[in-house]
Amino acid sequence: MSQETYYTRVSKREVKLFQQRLVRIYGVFVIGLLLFTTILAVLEVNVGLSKVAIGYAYLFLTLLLYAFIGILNFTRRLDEYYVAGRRVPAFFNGMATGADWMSAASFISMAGSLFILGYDGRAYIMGWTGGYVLLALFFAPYLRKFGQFTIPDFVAARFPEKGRTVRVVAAICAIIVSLTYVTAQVTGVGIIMSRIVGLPFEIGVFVGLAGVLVCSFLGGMKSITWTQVAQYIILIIAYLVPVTFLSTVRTGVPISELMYGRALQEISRIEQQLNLPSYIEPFKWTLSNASARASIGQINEALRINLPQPPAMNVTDWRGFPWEFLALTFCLMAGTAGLPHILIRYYTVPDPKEARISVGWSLFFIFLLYFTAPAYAAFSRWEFLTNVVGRPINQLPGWVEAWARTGLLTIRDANGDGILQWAELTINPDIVVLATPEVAGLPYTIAALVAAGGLAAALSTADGLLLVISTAVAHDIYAKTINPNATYATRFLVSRLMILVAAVVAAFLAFPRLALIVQLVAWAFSLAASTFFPVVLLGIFWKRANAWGAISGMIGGLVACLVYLWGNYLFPSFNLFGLSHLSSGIFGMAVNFGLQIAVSLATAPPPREVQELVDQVRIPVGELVTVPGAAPAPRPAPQPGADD
Amino acid sequence: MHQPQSEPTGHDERLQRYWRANRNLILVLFVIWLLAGYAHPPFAKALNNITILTGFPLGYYLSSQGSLIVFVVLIFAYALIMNNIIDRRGGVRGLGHVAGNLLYPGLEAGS
Repeated sequence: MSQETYYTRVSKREVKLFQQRLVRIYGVFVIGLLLFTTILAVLEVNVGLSKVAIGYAYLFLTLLLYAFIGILNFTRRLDEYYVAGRRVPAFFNGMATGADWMSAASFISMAGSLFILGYDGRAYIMGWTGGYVLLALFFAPYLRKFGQFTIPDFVAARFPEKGRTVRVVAAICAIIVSLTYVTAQVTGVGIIMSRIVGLPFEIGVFVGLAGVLVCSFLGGMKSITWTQVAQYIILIIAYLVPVTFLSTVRTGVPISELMYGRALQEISRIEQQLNLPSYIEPFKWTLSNASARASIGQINEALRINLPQPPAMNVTDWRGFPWEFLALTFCLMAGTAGLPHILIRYYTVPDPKEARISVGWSLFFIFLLYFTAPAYAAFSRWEFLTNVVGRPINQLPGWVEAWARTGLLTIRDANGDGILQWAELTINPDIVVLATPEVAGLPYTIAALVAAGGLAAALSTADGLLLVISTAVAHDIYAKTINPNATYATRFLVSRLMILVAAVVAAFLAFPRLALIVQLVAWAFSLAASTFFPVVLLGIFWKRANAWGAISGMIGGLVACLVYLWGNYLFPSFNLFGLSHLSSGIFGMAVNFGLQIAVSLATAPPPREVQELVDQVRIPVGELVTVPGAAPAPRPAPQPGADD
Repeated sequence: MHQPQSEPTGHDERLQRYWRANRNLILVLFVIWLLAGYAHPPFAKALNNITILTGFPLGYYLSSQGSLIVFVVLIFAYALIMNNIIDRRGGVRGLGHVAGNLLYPGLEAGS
């Protein structure tokens, strides 16, 4: 079977025209978005447009836009559905990866965590960027050369001795990782909907998911990619506008990333005056099971059952030690390079060279937000310390009341003096980014823009994750294992059905609010680091790795990670070196690497074809001709009208 | 597996040379990555006593911005060095089973 059948031959000129068209379309889109925001802001200030109307305008227009792109990119072709036809230029793939990557955790929850955690929050900043270096050096070009549809595809071809078993194990791991991750996104959608348009959390979740479904339902990876580019543009503009404004007002210079040094100085000064704990001092970790207790309480209440609650515990023995910081950073980095929905993005570029550059663009676009997040945290902490703390409680601005209603912000006048002290304010980190525009006194339009950005971030990631889950079931478990003779129509049907099932499951998992958004996402990273990272890494760089090693490594890593995660989550006194449940991936990774190496060496080496496959994967030009054990099925004949 | 090249030994040697060059570059960049990501946080408290730019404590600055800049530079450095120097010198164009790229024929190695 010739490889040509997989690709649409295009000339250099067509490529150039395609790129020009993309630049034109998205250029118009940026201008349109800025105009729309300006007009709404003017209407709000001069005509008094109502807040609810503005909220609806943003949320539903953006949802409509995503659905529109989804419909435009309707496809019946397998390569377009799974890998966007492998014709996404590096620059745009970088943007799409940026949106795929930056989820509700990065957009809504991260700056808030930095706001609360201070220095310790930097583990997220470094962890969620540094992993791209691993991705660039060890993964992206080789995976692209390998050129299949899913990560279980890769594992099955690399370990053909037990191709089916290894594929199913990998598919199950992919489902566990992605489901954990998508639960966090759904939580984010619920928070935004409940605040901006005032829907109850539970209903907000379902309205938001409807938007995701339209998009990933119709066009698979193709429509997801082009929607994600639009979502990236919305989310980055939404993130930069309020913080730039704050920086200009506070320091006179509109470059927040440079000017928040002054905010840090001011924060330190106020902290000393008010005798508050220092924001910049490192390693103030406390291991606590407060969130475990809270969510067990919520589950008990909702289901009217009586699960036993662990006793409240706070472990502070490991304050001042860097271990948790370093371990969490490493888990997040290794997880980045092991997350299936990110790895498959490098299947969508034209060739391995383009894959290398594409990782660079991905990190560049992510960097724009991560570089700004600490500034966001610092400026909003400064605002809170000066504009909220120290005010009489009955004279607090209106937004405090609005957020208090969602239960995410509480004010308790402990000493009864009628003045708000810092210690009397409890802020859920997940609201800091959304609340900052109002805290700074910006028009409500900006707050709605930020909410639309948060929604874009959550939905774009949810899209990618749902696709991974549905592909794991429809492609890896159903079409490759259970029923290899399945027709394409059945495969698409199973895939689309699975997206629906996964979305509903995620919505139900989101209700008990197991942890903060960033924490849920950190779990997904730990799980990915314990399962895929070691297997793919050794698969490419160690020819002796065999199927038995891979299977035992993935299962052992997953179990080790889950055991530490649950043990520490419920009982913080169960810990090694003060590592929290967030960095349980360290143990999973160690077990995975250890088992994989030991078991591989104890069993027979992989067959000769595998060695040749690995050699081929290392050459960055051309396409693989033979993929043992995983020979891809031919593409269905192009449907007239389905092509663009 | 069928190899289209006429002299398989020269082909293997070229592939090995190419892979060694790639591996050495990866190793160098990996060490820089390790240092940028993990060398400074243990000393953050001491570094915070130094103030730079508009008032950033140094330890805080390195983990919020310094490391990130190094990460971005590392990835572009790897991509550019591989695509423009090592791939070209190693002549990888002749190494693949299917020479050149089917999708973007104008953008293959060395052109």
